Amino acid sequence: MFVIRFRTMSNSKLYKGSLATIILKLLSQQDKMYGYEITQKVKGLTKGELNITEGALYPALHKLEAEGVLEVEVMRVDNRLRKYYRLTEKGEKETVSKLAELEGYIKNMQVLFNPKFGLE
Amino acid sequence: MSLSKDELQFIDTYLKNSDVIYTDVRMELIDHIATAIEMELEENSNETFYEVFKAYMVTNKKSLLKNVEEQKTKVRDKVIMRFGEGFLAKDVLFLIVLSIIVPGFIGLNFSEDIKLGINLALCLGMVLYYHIQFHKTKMTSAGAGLGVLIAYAIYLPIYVKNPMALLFLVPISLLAGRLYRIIKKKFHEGWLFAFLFLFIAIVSPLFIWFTKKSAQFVTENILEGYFFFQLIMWYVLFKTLAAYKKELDKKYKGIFC
Repeated sequence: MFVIRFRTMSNSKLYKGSLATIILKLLSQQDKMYGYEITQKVKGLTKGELNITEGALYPALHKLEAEGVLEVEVMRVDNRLRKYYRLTEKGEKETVSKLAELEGYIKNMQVLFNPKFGLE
Repeated sequence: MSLSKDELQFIDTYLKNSDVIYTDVRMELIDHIATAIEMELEENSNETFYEVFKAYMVTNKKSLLKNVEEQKTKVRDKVIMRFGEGFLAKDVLFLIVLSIIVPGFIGLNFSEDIKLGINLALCLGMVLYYHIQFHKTKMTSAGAGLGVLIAYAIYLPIYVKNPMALLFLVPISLLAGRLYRIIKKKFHEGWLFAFLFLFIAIVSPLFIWFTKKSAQFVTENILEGYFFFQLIMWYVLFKTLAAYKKELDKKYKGIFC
């Protein structure tokens, strides 16, 4: 229930394992991002289908930070402090391998569920 | 449209009252909530800050606080883990070897009760120091971690005399942690220290009774050895907390000072 909310489907388990990869992919396209920005970006790109909750996003960000994949920068914005996340050198390598892993997974799923398009 | 300082203060107070005591977690949540409210106010300009805030909390509070619970456990585990790892450093291993050799040569000329008292005082000092340091950084109140240290303070000297006491370590840790959290929630911070001393006052007579009862396990130098072990624990605790604070200062550029 805390993981990811969907507009049309209730089974969020399929997406749970991909949350870290989603974060890494977004950060590889932008220099740095803050929590709310990530949720909105995902919501926008999926046209509101995928809605990452705070209860899922921040623990994932903190875990990646603890693993040295992300680094943090705190800045003052509009009377308050904002925590920005960006990829470390290790994070850039991790993104490449995570994306390759996910691509392999998608490819295999296509072969299994849609053989016509999956076979090259 | 940016929220005013008063409105940000309102969110801050609300989160504090919801038991979000860690400054770094609160800072991130304030920004998240404030940004969400600002976006909503831009879309629906006829709504007020309080209406939007209330609606936001109805939907998201549970998820927000779940995040805080996870963070709380992580901070505590991280520090306790580092404290444990601290013993593996070369300088500490050297001190441990010294603490095994030195007591045999010195032989402190105190009565057994005074030696026990010194050891207990060193344990308690460590618990209080740990609590005060964490309170200062506003990162964690030490919570259950403190419970474990209290249990350690009470039980390790007993354990030295009677290894069977180890069986009670886990239930006593959990009980102390639970009591600590209940007291903390209901009373003012100052009561915590009163509680600690009360806890010790109740347990100390039991402690003395138990140690006298199990006197057959005592060897001559064991209390001196334990005294040196305590000093090493202090050394590791200083090192761990200093390193942790340094890391926080670096990350948050003195925000917590």
